[in-house]
Amino acid sequence: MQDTRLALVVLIPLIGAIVSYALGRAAPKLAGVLATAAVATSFFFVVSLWQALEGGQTFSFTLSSWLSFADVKLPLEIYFDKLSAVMCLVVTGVGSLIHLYSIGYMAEDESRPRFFSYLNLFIASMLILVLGKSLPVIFIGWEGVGLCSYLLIGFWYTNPDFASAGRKAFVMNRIGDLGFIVAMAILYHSCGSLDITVLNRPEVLARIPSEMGFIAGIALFLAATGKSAQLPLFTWLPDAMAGPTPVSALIHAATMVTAGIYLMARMFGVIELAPLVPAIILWTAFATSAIAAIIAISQNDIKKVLAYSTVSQLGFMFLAVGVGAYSVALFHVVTHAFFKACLFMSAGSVIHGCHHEQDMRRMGGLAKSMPLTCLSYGAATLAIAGIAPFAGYFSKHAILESLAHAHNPYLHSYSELIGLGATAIAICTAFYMTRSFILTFLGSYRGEGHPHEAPMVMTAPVLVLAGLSVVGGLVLNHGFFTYVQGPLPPVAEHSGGGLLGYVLGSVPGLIGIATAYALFVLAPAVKDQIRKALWIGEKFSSGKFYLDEVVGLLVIAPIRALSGVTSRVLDQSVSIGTGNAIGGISRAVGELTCRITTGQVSTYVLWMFASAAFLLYCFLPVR
Amino acid sequence: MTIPWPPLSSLIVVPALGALLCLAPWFSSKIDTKARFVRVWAIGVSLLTLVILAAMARAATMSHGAVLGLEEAHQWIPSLGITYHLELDGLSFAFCLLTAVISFAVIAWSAKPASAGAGWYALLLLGESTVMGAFLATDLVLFYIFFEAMLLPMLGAMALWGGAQRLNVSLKFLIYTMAGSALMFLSILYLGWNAQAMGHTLNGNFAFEITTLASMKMLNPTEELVLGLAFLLAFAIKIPMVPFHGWLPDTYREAPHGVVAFTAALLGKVGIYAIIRFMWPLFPTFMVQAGPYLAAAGAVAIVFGALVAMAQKDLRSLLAYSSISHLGFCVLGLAGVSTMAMTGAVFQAVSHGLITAALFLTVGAIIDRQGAREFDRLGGLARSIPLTAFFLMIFSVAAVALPLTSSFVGEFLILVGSWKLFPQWTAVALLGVVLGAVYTLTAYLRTMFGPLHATDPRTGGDIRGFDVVVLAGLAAAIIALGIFPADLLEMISPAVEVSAGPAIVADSSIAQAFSR
Repeated sequence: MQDTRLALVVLIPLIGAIVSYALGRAAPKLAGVLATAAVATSFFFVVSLWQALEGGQTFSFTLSSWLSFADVKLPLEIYFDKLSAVMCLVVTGVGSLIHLYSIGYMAEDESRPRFFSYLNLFIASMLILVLGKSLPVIFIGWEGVGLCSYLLIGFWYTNPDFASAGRKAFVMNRIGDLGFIVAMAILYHSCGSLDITVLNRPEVLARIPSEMGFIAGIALFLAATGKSAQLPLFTWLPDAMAGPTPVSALIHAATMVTAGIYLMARMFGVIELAPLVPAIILWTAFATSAIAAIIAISQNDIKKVLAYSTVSQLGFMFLAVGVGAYSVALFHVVTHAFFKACLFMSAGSVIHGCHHEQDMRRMGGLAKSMPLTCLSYGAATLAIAGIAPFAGYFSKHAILESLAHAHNPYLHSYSELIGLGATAIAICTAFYMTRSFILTFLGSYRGEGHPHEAPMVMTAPVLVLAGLSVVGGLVLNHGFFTYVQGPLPPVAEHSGGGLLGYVLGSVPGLIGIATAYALFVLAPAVKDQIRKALWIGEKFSSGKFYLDEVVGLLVIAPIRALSGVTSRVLDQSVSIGTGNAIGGISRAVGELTCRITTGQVSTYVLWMFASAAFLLYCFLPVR
Repeated sequence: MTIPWPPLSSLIVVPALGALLCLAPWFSSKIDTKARFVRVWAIGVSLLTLVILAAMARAATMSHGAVLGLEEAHQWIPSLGITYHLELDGLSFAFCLLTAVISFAVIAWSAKPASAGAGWYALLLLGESTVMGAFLATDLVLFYIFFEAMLLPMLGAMALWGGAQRLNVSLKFLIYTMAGSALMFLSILYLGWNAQAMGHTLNGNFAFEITTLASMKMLNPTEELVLGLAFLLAFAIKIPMVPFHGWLPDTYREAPHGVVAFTAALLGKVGIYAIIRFMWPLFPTFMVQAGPYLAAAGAVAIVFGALVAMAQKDLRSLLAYSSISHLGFCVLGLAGVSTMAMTGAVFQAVSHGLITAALFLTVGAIIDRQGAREFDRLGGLARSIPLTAFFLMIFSVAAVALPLTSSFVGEFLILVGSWKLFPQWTAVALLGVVLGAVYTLTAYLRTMFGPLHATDPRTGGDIRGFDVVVLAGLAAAIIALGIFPADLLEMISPAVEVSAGPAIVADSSIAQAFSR
């Protein structure tokens, strides 16, 4: 059913991007208000559409005939079903709160209009991504969010490191995009369509040759690894922390980085064509999640801890994708959006209150000066640690349970191993998050100056998200899986209920929290001894497994060298070589001409007659 | 369909007459000292040409579903069978539209060489006229005349107002292109003579009109190979395809900004246009057989151009090699019998014309106002010239083919369309997509971001006045074509199918030969 409200959902933030910049230049204070109002209006329309969704009904809207000509039919059409509804609610809902928060956070920045314009543009792109009816339309949003991410990471562009971080994010995402394009090419030629409502039909999927099905699945996953920061393309996300903190909350935690999971869920039919693909996803997700969790332990920058934690949690979502529990993965997307946005925004308040200090070694004791922020950060920490009945508990527990139900011929008996490993990662998560909480809020203040609580415009949205981190899981747990069952395959029954279940399920989180508390508060001496004993581990952890160095050595350096050789050797020799050849030929012709032009009249006359005879032969009609 | 007025020739005659009148006495440097009136005049003429073209296309496609196909034919040299035959179909229209828009942009652009007066505008209008002719002519001799003539205005402008090496570089450019087209001319003569020898022509004369020649199917495979290679060499140099690009970096380094924008946007496009217009119908068997090699050449050009661009140390050279890389997509697209890819190739050619002209003009403004073109001497300009930075960002993301810009449409259709025929070369081409992002963003980073460069405190001004309108117009065109490409695609694809029609037959007969 065509519905104009759907167009407004996308267009209002897009117009907001232009208006907030144009008017914001005249009155900078207005920019934030306008941008926030635009996203809130969009949220309002999403809610009204969501309310109108009944049964298997969907809405759609065609914006342009776009790539439709001859027998190619690829219109620019957006589409609203229960899966897009969930994503849109998160994007515009959490997005509105983060916009509101940004009014306070960016209050002193002179480039506010530009900031809010980019932020609105991001919301519009993200909405196109989750609303696209065909893969090329999803790709519009996919690239659009990449551009906004690039612009916002390098927002403070006078710092060349920040600008480089933006470029790194864009290029690594581009590598993933190759996968997206390859998948589109394969699916278009095999299925004759790129419409998502067509592609998941079994009779259409049956047209894809098996080896092409494998390539398409892997290609889509490659796209997802770029956007959702999985191995081997995850190193851009920690660097992306160069952007302003609201950007980290919105783009690099709550919304954009979950686009890969959304893509997997949308294209689950293609992902499951070859059983090897889910197996590869599962192993990649596991490795990413484990590595990121280990790195997060030794980070001192509060935003870096949260960044690696995001990578690790995204890995958790992909674990669910790998075992076919797409709705469970999506559930974790939602709860993660609540608590991770809350964590980032609390961290932003801390950074704001500590005069742009990000190093936790120069924080401490902030519970006294920033009680509301401490409360929010604490609630979200319990949520991410997976303590019942906080939000993260339900989604994490569902992931761990779905791992136990995995059916994949390539996994054999490894599924238990992965389940065990995932539990270890959950312990690790609770450990490093508690560590960051202790270093920031407990003990005594180690920095200079006077930390102060953030203004209301910042604390209010954070407290809303903190509330969602507390009750969000409990409220959604029952209805969520049945709600998304239309667009997504059903998942196995999961328990998780009952007081005993809650207690048992919280054990990994409690172990992590207890260990961290013991080591950082009760017995710091033991901690130092452990650090000494595990010095190699610490070296790898704080060195981020030297992934940047390895990529630099194995990928970037060879490409640079190749570029140099192509330019200096190949291009020069071609240029000079062909140039000389052509020069030589023309000189030879010239010399020949010189030889003909002897200066003797008799020779010229001879040539003249010969030419005339030839012309006569050619042009006389009589032969 | 033939319409009485205005005839197709007006697209050639109006700018030519306009050019001639630029040299009128009242525009002389004594009266029009700052070349202000002549500029207004030239802008008016180029705008008029654009309006005529749009009006023609609109009038011809008024009725729903009508396919654009305007013709104008006169006898010219009847004894030699040479006709004055112009045709405006969807394929020509796409390129003529590009020509009219780019000519307007370059003429309206305020920055021009210091000593240039009325002559500058005369040469640019003459350039527009001859390029229009090349895109309209369907008689091979007529096409050849325009193909050669369109060089002269650009060569003249380069030799008059280029950099220190201008004469050497002009000569190199001239020799390169002449060397390419000489063999093509011989081939054209052979085709005309052959048509007569086969006795298929009117009055037993020679014939050079493309539909007449193509309908005869008179060439044996060897002839197709030899003649096809001769044609291909001419167009490979003009586009340019790697490794025939030796003239390009020097030319783009030495010529004035406007000339580079004009040349990069339009001259090479004639090569792409001509491959579809003339080579596919004339040499269908050769083109089908050459397909894989062309696809390989396109893919190699994409990666080669990108790798060399990455190593460049100044803005203009980087743009020159990035141009080679982007044109590789066009070559990949026109290599195979696929309506999707070939339509994409034409669209990409138009899109590249718009983007590359916009980039050369913007970069020219930066170079002129900052007094530097090397990355080492630029940096941090986003704060001091925000408007230029804004436009450079739009054109840069268009260059890396972000969706909703015109180049995404072209590259997407080419990549998806070619995947079925040449998956391996399409995969190679995809590497260029990543490398393109690397060098484009690096160039932007080193020009606009980071701290303001310390050693050069001179900060030139931002773009202003009519230049803003020009860039905004180009940006609007790039984005409009990115969101609403369907109308143009619908015009291009039937024309492309007509051109490649014989090849589809040839393709199936080759397939049969192999299956036997």
